[in-house]
Amino acid sequence: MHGFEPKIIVFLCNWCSYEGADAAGRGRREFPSGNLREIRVMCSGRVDPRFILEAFRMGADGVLILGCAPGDCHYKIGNIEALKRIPLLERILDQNGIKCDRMRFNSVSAGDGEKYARISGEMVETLRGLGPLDHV
Amino acid sequence: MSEKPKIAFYWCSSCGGCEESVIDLSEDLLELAGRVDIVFWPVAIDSRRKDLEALENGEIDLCLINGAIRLREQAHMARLLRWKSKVVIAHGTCAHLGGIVGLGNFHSAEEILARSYKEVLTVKNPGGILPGVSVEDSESPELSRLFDKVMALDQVIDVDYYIPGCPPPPELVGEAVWAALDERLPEKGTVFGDRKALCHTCPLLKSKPEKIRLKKFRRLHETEWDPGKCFLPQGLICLGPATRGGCDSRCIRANMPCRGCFGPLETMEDHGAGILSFIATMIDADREKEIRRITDSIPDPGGLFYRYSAPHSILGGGKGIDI
Amino acid sequence: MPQRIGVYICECGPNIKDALHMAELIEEAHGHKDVVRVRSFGFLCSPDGEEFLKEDIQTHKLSCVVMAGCSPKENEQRFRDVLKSAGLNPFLLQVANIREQCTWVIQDKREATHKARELLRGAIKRVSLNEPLEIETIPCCADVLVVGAGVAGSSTALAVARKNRKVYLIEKAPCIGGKVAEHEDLYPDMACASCVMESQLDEVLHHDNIEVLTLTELIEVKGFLGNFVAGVRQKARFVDMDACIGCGACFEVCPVAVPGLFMEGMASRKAIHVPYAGALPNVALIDEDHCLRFQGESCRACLEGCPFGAIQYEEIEEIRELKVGAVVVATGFGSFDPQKDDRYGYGKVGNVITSLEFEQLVNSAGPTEGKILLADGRPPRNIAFIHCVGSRTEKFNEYCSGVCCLYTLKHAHQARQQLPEAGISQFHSDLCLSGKDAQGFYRKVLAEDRIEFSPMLQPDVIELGTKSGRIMVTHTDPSGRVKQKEFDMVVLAMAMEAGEGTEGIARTLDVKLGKNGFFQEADARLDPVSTVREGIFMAGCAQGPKDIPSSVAQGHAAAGRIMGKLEPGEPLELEPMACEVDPEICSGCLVCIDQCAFKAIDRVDRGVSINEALCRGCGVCAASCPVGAINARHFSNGAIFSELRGLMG
Repeated sequence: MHGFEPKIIVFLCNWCSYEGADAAGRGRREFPSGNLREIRVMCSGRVDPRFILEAFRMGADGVLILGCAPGDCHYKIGNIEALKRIPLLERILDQNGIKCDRMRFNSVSAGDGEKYARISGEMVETLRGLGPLDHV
Repeated sequence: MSEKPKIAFYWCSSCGGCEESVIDLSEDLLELAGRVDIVFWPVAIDSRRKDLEALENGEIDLCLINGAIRLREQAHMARLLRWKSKVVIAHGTCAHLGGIVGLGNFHSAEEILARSYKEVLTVKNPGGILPGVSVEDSESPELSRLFDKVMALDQVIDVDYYIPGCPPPPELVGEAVWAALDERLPEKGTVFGDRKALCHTCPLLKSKPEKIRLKKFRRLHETEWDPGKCFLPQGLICLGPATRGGCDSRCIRANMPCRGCFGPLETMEDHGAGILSFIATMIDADREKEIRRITDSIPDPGGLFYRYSAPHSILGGGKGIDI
Repeated sequence: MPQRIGVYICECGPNIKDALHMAELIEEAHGHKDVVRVRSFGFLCSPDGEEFLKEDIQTHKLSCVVMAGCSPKENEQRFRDVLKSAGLNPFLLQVANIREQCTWVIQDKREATHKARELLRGAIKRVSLNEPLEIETIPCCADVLVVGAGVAGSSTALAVARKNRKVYLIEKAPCIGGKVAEHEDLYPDMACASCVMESQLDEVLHHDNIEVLTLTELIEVKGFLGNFVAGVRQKARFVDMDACIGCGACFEVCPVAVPGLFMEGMASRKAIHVPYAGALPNVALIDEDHCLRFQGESCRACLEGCPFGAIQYEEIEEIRELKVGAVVVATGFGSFDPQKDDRYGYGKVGNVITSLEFEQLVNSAGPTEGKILLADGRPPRNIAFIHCVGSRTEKFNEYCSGVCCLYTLKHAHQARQQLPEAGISQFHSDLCLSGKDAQGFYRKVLAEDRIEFSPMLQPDVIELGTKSGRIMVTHTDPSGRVKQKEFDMVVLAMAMEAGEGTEGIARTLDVKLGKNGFFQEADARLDPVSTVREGIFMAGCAQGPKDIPSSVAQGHAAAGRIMGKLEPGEPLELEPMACEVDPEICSGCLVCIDQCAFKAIDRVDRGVSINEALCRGCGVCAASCPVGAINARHFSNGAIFSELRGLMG
């Protein structure tokens, strides 16, 4: 889709992935930050399924949820609880006609600006290929 | 009121179960019939649309509309009844949330019509004729067209109250109707039933443990279970934790897990999201692969979690169509 | 009441000012109702900037503030303090990150401006939903319960007690000092164990701030950091601890002799006894299981023989509730049971003993008065020491216990001292010699003690059998060859494992065990003496195998963590962004309880309640609640939906 620039809502956890996103900034990394809209939560486990569904309803082309690496969660198991919701959410999105590639869950450690840049860049590319989300 | 209050019933996309719930008022129905003047009830009395159109606006004191809005004709009738009624109650889950009819939202109208009228093996329709389409030389009247999406009643007209349930318990119908007749209706927008989820009043709550971890979700036909104990730790999906109570746990008492027909509480716009939230907590895994494997033991999460509420969910069942 | 929102955009020098169109950003802010003040400033984080902000908030009577500038991780706390100094609740602030997550990574000015506008919009929409949170405090108890009076537990107890706090030191055995007190000499300097422990244990027994409860076990722990109530059960000793001086007159006259529990069961003692010579406290106790009186007979020998009237047959067990602010579990270790592997022949082949049993042989107060003897009373002509029994193998314990090579060298050294002509062999695979003094000790033993080192291909390719009254040791060497040698005595160095009863204690304390059965740390690197449950700590071998200095260090570490968290008289500050349950909506489904890693959610009558002293504010429970009954303060659903709306336009 030529000319289409996807808009991605990114949920970042206060202790790891938000810091990782900041690290990407401090490192002046090159990645399509203009396509991202970051929301800070304390833990990826805080991300209620409703936030994700609502983001799509409001017109987001993609939703990215980034937590701490397994074992590193500041609140011990929050990232696992977040992960447990993902496959069910993917099925719900699919059945609602939204390709589940539009939602991703991954982990970014506090200093890992490189990974933040890479993952978000990959997602933007994927969504450029999928095109905008049609709304009836 | 000097005269008897006027009451109307109507059914949209409906199975007739809500009408049954009125009949199931039993002896109370006789008392009701004596106290009111039923001016419109297609299934029970010989009333026509023109009789309805002839009424003054607001002349009907109480109108119960059941069924979801699937056809243009139903939307038209809903609007008509709204003009003619002082109080409109969405009667039953289809009117409240879209109901089972709402599952249609996971497919387009074209898909549904094509499946029913062309693809089913036992259908003989060589011309591929679909309803709602004019046929030349035909003397039959034109059928109403399907909307693209099923709607709940309040997505078409302003609704004053809701009686949940598929079907609604007769007691709840009675409660709403008597409250209207006695002029002691609660705050506008109230959904009759409890203010809390079913677990609160479930007879099996005592056996619900604090920690439930499952390696597999089971389906009713696949397994036996202990009837005296909570379904969830036994691997069976009961939607009680996310579903409004007030139904006297009748399914639980019949040894069946809650299917969620009363819908969510006011605080949870999307019933399926609330269900997903607690179902996910029961997955006994912490690695992606195993989480997926366990999730796969639920064959149709969309259908299961949004069985009664797809039109009223955040995504509505299919607002976005990906190519 | 309508909000009066102030929007402040930090130019951050050129970092923001030159990287986007400031005018558009200001215009965006003005475009929202309720925004009554919009200003940009060079460096808001400077003293001038803070002063300006404070005055501006007061002058314009703002109800809440939006900052657009650098990451909240940099400056949110600073600006919260400014709000506070201006008389506004510090949580009525929302920060839009338009530097790290915008201007620093978007080159195109137009694109940067577009994103910054939407980030700003998100913050403006959200700030109205921020609530004025207060930092609550609760009173706390700074006393400590230490479970286990070994070297780690007694170190904790002393460190805390010396800082003027009360310590309850409970110990399930009748004496304190744990395993160390049962040792003879300690590596690497062969210091006398009882001498080393004596002064510490003495101070523990006599310190005003330490109440030692022997024969006592933990039965329940309720509550939270600063507010625990621990239930303990103290078994009856049947001897008055204040009157008994341990003179031993009662032992002489007691008619019942039994094998001892201490000294690995090798010493024999009477039904009324002191656990071992030198045990502290030096007070006798009656073993109910063997005492004739408790079997129904009418023996009164000890009562009549005691010159101090210390015997009290009527004593009963006591249950006490201790109010403390923190708990330290220092329950020590157990040893691998060599009978689990037939290869080692323990219990079948004569003169195969464990290293702890060998320790009793060389103990001058032990069953052989310090002489290394075979079962038939002769000294051995040769001894084999086998390393890694139950260690470094997937079959039993995959880890290395880290102390056995050193104490086995010590044992070899002790054997050499006593038996100048005996053959002494060590069967090992690798040698674990970490720490400042280990290599030196090893070299000394190597130089002086004429030890034969027999390396093995793997830790467990060894087998013991009998051959004409001696022990045949068969092993595979690193080249794969199988070798055999006969010995009079074999000593097995066993893996250190979690002590018996660890699982029960973990359940009582409601803390987790790690994969090897020891207590699980809150963070293996940065918080090794804390359990996941706030206020419950661990020290010593309860956490994992370690040597004495490390156990003591952890004992001190636990004390340090506790004293850092609990100050006598000072209140505890709670997390302001804790979650709360709406009892009107909570339907008692109980899903959230197990979701909380901090055990902050309790069942109450037909519902749940969140203990704000324990809640860390992660919000996992809020997202798991099927009916939305839980509000995550400062990160409420409403707040996040508003921010989303702002970002999506």
